[in-house]
Amino acid sequence: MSYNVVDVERLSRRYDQSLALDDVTLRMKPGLVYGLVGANGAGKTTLIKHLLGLLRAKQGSVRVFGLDPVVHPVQVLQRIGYLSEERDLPEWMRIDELLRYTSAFHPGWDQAYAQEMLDLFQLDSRKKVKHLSKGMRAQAGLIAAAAHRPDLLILDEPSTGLDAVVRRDILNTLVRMVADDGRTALFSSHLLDEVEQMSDSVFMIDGGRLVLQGDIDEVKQMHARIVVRFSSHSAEFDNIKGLLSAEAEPYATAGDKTWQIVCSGEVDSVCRQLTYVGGEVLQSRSANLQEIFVARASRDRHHQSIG
Amino acid sequence: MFKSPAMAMIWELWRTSRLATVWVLCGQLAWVLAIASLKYFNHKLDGEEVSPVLCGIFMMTTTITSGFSQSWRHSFESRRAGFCFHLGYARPVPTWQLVLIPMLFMSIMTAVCYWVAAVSLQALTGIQVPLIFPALLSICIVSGLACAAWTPTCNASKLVAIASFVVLLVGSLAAFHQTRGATEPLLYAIGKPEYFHLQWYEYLPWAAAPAIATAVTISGVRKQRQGEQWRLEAFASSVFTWHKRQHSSELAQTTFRSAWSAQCWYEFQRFGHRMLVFGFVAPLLPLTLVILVSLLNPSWDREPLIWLAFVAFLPIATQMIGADGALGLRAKQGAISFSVFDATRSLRNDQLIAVKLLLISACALAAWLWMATIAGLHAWLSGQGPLWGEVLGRVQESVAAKDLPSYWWLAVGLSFAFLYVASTSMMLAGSLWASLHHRIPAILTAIFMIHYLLAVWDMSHAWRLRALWVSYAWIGSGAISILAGLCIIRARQSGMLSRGYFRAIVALWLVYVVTVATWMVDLKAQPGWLLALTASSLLIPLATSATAPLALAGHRHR
Repeated sequence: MSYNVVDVERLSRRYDQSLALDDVTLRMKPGLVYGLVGANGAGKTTLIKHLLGLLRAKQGSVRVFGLDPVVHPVQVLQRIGYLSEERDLPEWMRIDELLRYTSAFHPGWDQAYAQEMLDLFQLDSRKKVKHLSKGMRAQAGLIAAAAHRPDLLILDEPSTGLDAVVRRDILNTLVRMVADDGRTALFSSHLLDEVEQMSDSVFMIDGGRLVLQGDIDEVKQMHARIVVRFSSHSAEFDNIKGLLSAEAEPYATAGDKTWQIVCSGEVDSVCRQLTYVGGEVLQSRSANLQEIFVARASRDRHHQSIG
Repeated sequence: MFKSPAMAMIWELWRTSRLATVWVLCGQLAWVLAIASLKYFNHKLDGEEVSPVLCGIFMMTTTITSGFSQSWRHSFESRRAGFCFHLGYARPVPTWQLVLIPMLFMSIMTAVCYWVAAVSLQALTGIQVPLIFPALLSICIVSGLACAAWTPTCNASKLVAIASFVVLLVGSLAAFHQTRGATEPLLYAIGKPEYFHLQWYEYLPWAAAPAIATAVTISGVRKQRQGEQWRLEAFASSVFTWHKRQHSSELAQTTFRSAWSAQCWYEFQRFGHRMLVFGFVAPLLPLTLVILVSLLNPSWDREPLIWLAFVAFLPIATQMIGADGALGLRAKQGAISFSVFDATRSLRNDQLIAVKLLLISACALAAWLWMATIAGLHAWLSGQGPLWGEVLGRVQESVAAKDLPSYWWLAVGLSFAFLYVASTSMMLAGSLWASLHHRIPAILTAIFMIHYLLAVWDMSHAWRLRALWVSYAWIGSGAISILAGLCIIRARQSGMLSRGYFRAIVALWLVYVVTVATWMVDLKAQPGWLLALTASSLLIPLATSATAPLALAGHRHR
């Protein structure tokens, strides 16, 4: 069945002069964890706000569970769990009040699950939100977002404020559990190793454009990191197809110079082209998400600056 | 680049306050213009007896608005106690500088606000307005409020400090008034030029007050910067902390019956309880007034009028407070926005608005009933029953003369309820839109001011512009009808107004229209433009009830 939880079609958004989203098209299937990566101001939160109906799609369309979230906020928001980047929770509420209040909006609220997570985080349910630390606030927000076992769990920078143990054990487990139940999770993060570890699929946004999307393993297989040595300091990369970035190794001595290259597409073809222009390929392996992201983002910025 | 940290701080203060200051100056200049135009077009106001009253009114209002013009910095209305520039603790700046610079800045801006208005009035009307004492008084208000808000570290102490400051200020002003030995009414007395002819040493206490306030604030902030509080405050905190609460990780098993009831609870916690507190405290004002008047003038027997005035205006006051609290907007990164938490509730916009309207109306009704009960109790305890009987008898007589059927009263009650809800909805919609479109209030104010001046001029020139006003009435009635229709259609088509909500407001609107139509007895005797305007005005409550969800959608789905 080709049912899409999220269906975004040619979505663009402009804030005054800057383009926050530029012709973004993406689809999300049930049972998968999606990572949303991008630099600061790339458009991640803008995209998430469109999914929640907090921004109206002025150009393009957004459908969540087949519905427009602006026109059908009740039907859509009932099935979404959302943790905002700012941990926007009412300061005057106690944690137990927050959970009791949130439960009223979600028919599928699981009180036992909420209690379980509360015990896990060792939070004082009688404490007011304004007296919580940044991490505790994130934990309270996480319980409120996940305890109704939402069909779509959206976490905007969930790692911010959480310590390494909570990040690795609890967040990972929570997100994986969502996917294992046949539900969907989308989380944005700056921590690319975390995205690589937790998600099945990735959306990479840069300058408002969706520069890369796909299954994590496929994306990694599609990209390679090659170390190549040239006998002279100048190297000609302009005509090499598939090359995303080339970075000279620092502290190079006179004579030879070693370059680290990230490329997409056929690795063998890139290696052949490098050999053709006088390079000696020293090492080749699949690139990790961090390397892919840096390569693509720096390439786009380079193109923009030239343009 | 700034040459010193002080310059950087002054720049920051100016950068964050300039808009508010410009608004205060604009408001005060509009006020000056209004007084000047009244005086220019109405020569009766030139007399020696009226000028001091005008001057007195101007001084009182301008001194108070100038004193409160920097209230964004006092933060006495915010829920947080303590020094509001606490981010500055991490800066390499001594505490005295951290406090003194904002205090001086606020004092100077306050004085400037007063002087600009006073000099403008003097230039436009020739009225002699004192410059030194009112400005000094404004500075006392601003520094006293800042001291009361910044020095304590908890909200209870802050409340006590602000209340003490208000009592001290009122007491000092009363003592000052006594020393002036004026026998005339207050507004008349303070408007006379000789009232503020003081010796240099008489200025000293008023000049010393801001200095003392600044010194106290520096001392308090110094403790706060080190994470301490004054001994008295620490002692009070320890007294009021009865027992240490145990850590609890148990969740209550009770739940809300529906999302609607949860939202009602949430909104009540957010702003409803403040309305109730206001309603509970409000009768103290007429009660104090009545007791004071009775003490000063035992033969005065018009106390019921004071009570009636308060009973009549209380719903409007509660409505304004409620509408302000219900908005739920907040300033973030220089922009006014709706809380993401509120926006992600799975409720429709009309439901969110309906909860707000329901709470405001219910709290206003409770406050109104409480005020009426206190009024009745006071009448009973003070033996003023016959006096009340007389007042109510007159009302009953005038109503009985109309010979209206009993069900008409039900319709009147429903119409009033509908109008109350519709006007609250209009307040909400207006505030929501005004925060999205900042220029609209300024444009509307400018248009109003131009027409106000025109009307004042026209009044004293035998209504020469009658044709213009009549054409405005026709154009206005057409515009109201079209805009009201468009608003309702848009709200329905965009899905912001559900069928149930729409049906309810249409039913109430019909009752209102029929009630008004019954009351308007002689339509034939009225001019056409007035009929058109009245007929189109009937649409306003219907349209305003429908526009609040649309206005909310403007924030929720930007």
